[in-house]
Amino acid sequence: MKPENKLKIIVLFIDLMIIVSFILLWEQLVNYKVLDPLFTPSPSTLLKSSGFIYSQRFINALIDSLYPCVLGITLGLLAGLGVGIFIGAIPPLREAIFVYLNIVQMSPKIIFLPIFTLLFKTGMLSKTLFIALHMFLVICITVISALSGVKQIYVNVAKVMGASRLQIFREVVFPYISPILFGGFRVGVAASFVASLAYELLLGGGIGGLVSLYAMKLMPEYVYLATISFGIFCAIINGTLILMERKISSWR
Amino acid sequence: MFLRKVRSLPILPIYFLAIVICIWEMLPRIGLVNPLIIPPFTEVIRVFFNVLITDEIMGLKFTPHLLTTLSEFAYACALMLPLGFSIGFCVGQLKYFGMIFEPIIYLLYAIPNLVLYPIFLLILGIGELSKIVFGIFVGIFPCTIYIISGFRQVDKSYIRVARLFGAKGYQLIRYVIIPAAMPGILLGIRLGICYAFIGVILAETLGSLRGLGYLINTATYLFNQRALFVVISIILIISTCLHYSLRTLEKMMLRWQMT
Repeated sequence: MKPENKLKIIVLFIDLMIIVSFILLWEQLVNYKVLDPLFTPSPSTLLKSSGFIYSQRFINALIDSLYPCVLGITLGLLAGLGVGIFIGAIPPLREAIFVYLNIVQMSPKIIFLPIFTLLFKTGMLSKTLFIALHMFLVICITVISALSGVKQIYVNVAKVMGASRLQIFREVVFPYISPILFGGFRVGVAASFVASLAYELLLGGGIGGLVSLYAMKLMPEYVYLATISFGIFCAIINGTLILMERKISSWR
Repeated sequence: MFLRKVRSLPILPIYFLAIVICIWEMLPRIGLVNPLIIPPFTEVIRVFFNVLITDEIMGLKFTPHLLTTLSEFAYACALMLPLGFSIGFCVGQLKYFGMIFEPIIYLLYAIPNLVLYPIFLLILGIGELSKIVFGIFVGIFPCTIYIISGFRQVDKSYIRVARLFGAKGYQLIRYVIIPAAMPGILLGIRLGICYAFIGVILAETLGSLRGLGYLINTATYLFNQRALFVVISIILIISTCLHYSLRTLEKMMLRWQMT
């Protein structure tokens, strides 16, 4: 075995040991009542109640959370692409608007939730649009930044070769911005999950609503199971997108 | 020619803002948008100055709420920055430490931070502590990750040259490694601080007894749209000031790199 591979295996083993030690420490802290079992159930209690994540209730809540997420992500992606390309193609417009897009992006967007619920009422529509806002901002900013980063020399070469505007976009600009765009898409998906959860924690429905309900009923094991499993689910999606991003941008 | 002239004007964002404000003022006035839902801009401004003068919003004192948010944010930053820097330095500079802890940091970063907020609430309660800890939790990952990449990007030849000149341990870190990693460190600090503010406001909105997030909830429940827009404006002003002041500071501190 190569020394690098041996080192990788040792590191993986140490990482696993750290995670196992954390779980054991958590178990002991709850057993010795350092952590209140009323609010922090032990890992063994979570394991005993783990059937909950296969229950119809949890699966329905997960679907309730994911459906508007998929709709919102699609809507935000399309709107972000369209608006981003439009703004990015007109430099004065870019200069006028980009700064405000950045301001909104760097601020806590949950402050706009009450306006959404008043304009579109509580429910599927406002939730989808609130998620779409998160995706839209990320994609729009990414597209504008990526378009301004396209090297003029590539465009000029394509022009000299007689390419039309559509061909320049399809053959030069789009391949150049696609890896950056995919990175933006990944960040947008993560932001959309956060938006969905924030909406649900405040207004009910989906996984967030389920978590709020069990927190009010003081059933912490279900709160932990729902949050941890949703977290792992999001981490898997994020990880998959990171791997895809690496593959897509490997040519660079 | 015209476009070039327009492009050279630095006031385009101000024009855009003026147009948005005009539309915002007109739409509720001509009845295209319900003024009960989106009040006209001038009404919001009137309430904004009223809050500044009387220090009262929806029958509540405004300053204590503002101070609560700012103090939670300040505590979060004060704890997050040294922690983020230390972790970033160790992971970025110490080979084996980095190999062991970097995957764990990225694993935790991949989990949407808000998912864990209900657990923070259960363990730490609805008081200020849960907001501070959540602010740290939201801010520390971007902060650490950019600091790590800052330390990783330090040119090894700088370290070799400094060693040739006899620099050791502390001198090497103080005069070579930290200045060379400064772009990453400052970017990490800026993002960490901005995200910590987002985290604190997010946590307050989801459940609190004081703070600007609490005022947003109160305005929503009381259907006081003017107050709601005033609080939103104040949060936007704070986050914008924070973002741009840190960016300016970053540019000032990195000016030596441009020369």
